[in-house]
Amino acid sequence: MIRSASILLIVAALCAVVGAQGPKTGLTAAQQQQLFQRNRAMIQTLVDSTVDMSTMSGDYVYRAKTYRKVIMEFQRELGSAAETSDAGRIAELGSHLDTLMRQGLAPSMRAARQQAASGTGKKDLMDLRDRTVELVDWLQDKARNQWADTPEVRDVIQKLELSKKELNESVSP
Amino acid sequence: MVSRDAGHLPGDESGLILAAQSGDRESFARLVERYWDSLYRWLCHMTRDGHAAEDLAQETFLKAFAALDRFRAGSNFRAWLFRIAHNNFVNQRRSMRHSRQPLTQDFPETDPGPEEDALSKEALQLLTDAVAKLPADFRSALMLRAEADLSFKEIADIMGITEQTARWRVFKARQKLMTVLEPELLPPARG
Amino acid sequence: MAVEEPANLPVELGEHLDGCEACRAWMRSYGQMNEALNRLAVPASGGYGKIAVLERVRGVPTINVSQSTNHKPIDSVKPMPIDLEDDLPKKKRQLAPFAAKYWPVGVIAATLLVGVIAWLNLRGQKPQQQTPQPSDPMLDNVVRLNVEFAKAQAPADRVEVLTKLADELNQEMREIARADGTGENMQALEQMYRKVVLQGLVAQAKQVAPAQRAAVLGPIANRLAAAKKIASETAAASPEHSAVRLRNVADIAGDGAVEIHKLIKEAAI
Repeated sequence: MIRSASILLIVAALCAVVGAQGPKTGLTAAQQQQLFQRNRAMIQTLVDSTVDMSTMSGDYVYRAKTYRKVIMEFQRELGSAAETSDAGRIAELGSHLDTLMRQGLAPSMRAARQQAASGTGKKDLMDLRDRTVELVDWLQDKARNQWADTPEVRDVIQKLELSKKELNESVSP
Repeated sequence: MVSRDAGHLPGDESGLILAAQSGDRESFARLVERYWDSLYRWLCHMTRDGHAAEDLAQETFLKAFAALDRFRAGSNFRAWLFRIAHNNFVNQRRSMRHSRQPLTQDFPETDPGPEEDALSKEALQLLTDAVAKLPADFRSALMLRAEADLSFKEIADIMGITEQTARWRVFKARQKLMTVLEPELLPPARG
Repeated sequence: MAVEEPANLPVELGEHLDGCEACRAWMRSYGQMNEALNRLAVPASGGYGKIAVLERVRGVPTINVSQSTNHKPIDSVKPMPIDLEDDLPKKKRQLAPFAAKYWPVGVIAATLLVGVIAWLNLRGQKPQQQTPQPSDPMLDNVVRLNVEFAKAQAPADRVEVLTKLADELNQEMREIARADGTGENMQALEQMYRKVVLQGLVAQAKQVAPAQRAAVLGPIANRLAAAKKIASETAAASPEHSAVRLRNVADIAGDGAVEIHKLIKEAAI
């Protein structure tokens, strides 16, 4: 009985903590709903990637491949932002791409390189590396020609240059 | 039993293949869409591993794409594709013997389907386990028949055996499965 | 069982079946078994393999990106299949017949045009600005959790990250429940929550070593129980199309907690 009471107390305390988490910084429900609507596809892809990674935790080739869909989603979103010259959106997405490349994709590919035998595994890693580098090159070129005078975009472009190097190094022998 | 080719005209596929062989990539893409699911499913039964099945399916279609000019128009494209898949599977199995074994996954539960003619959940689970326990060559032949709807002659071509052996393997596999399922399916014999 | 077409039995066999109930029963069972063989469930394809094949076959990404007819290849880089639309008019007007008669008009028009361009530049309108949108904290967190997961080495760490991801989704649902007019976003969030808890968290929890389960999974189970309670409470105060999603999420959290408790109990035996 004491044990059940303790558990109830813990649950109640957790409810109080979790319930007290107010709306995210300064945003109304309507704003949050709009932001979610805009980013829904990207969020879904990232959630899928996280769960898919968990299904084969020890297989780094598979884990690296879960980023393929993520990169494709970035390709699509950045393309839309480019069509409307939305520099703010470019900077936002570019910053996330930088984080994912450096802290997610590059380490997974480094580990995968050791696991991948020759054949499909290694080829897939190279394909994924090429696609990602191509996306970054395109973005850098567009930025230099069109959005170069936006500080946020300039900053993101510089970071992506470093991420690109790291990605290339992750699959080099 | 509804044919898996329902909705696809026989002439439609030859048209796609000819177009693909002439360089129309979109036609080959349509062939991929048509056959991906059944090939993937068969490879799942063979490897007992969804991820390995996905990789092998990918490899199979890419090899088929590269070798499309060697496909003889008028012959059975499905059988040709499954032959490539079977070879890939066999090669992978050989190489896996020397390195790490793939993790086998828990397969999801099968939906029993319409009530009147369906096996119970327990029977389906028994069937799933029994199929998994069949020796690979027997499982391969059985599931080529069940999933890919191939004739015994085509199964024989794919597996590099005689038609008689293909028929025998499917027969023995079915016999084994019925032995496992009988207590679930059939009422006890009256004494 | 060796017959090529079960529907077309040999005559002798057909005649036997007509007279033998036991064999007919066996035949029915055999038919059920064959029917079930091609319905046996297999793990859902992740889709990566098919996407990779279709990309290579088609030679372009399989995403819906618009193609501009004015696309100029970038010098040292392979062209992306998208480009900005060129807004400038493409037709050249034929001015020669009118030039002699209306040249003063032309001069005035040109002066006006120059003035407008100068005014726009002075206003600093380049590049074209969109109404700035705030950055999305949820997207920030989901990106952060994805890379945190990629770095997590031990099952205990991975379970923790997946729990945080589940909490994030749960919170988002609670916050937009009243703003989501159609329920589409709530449905998407519910599906993500289901995937994270049942396919991710519970599956990963099984990897935690038995000796660690009580310490690692106990708090996780409590958090799921708390999430269930809060989702139910929020459902009560939400429009019905959101409430149904929140109730589903409460059930998922509850199921997840039950599974986690089972794992802890198994380890204790």
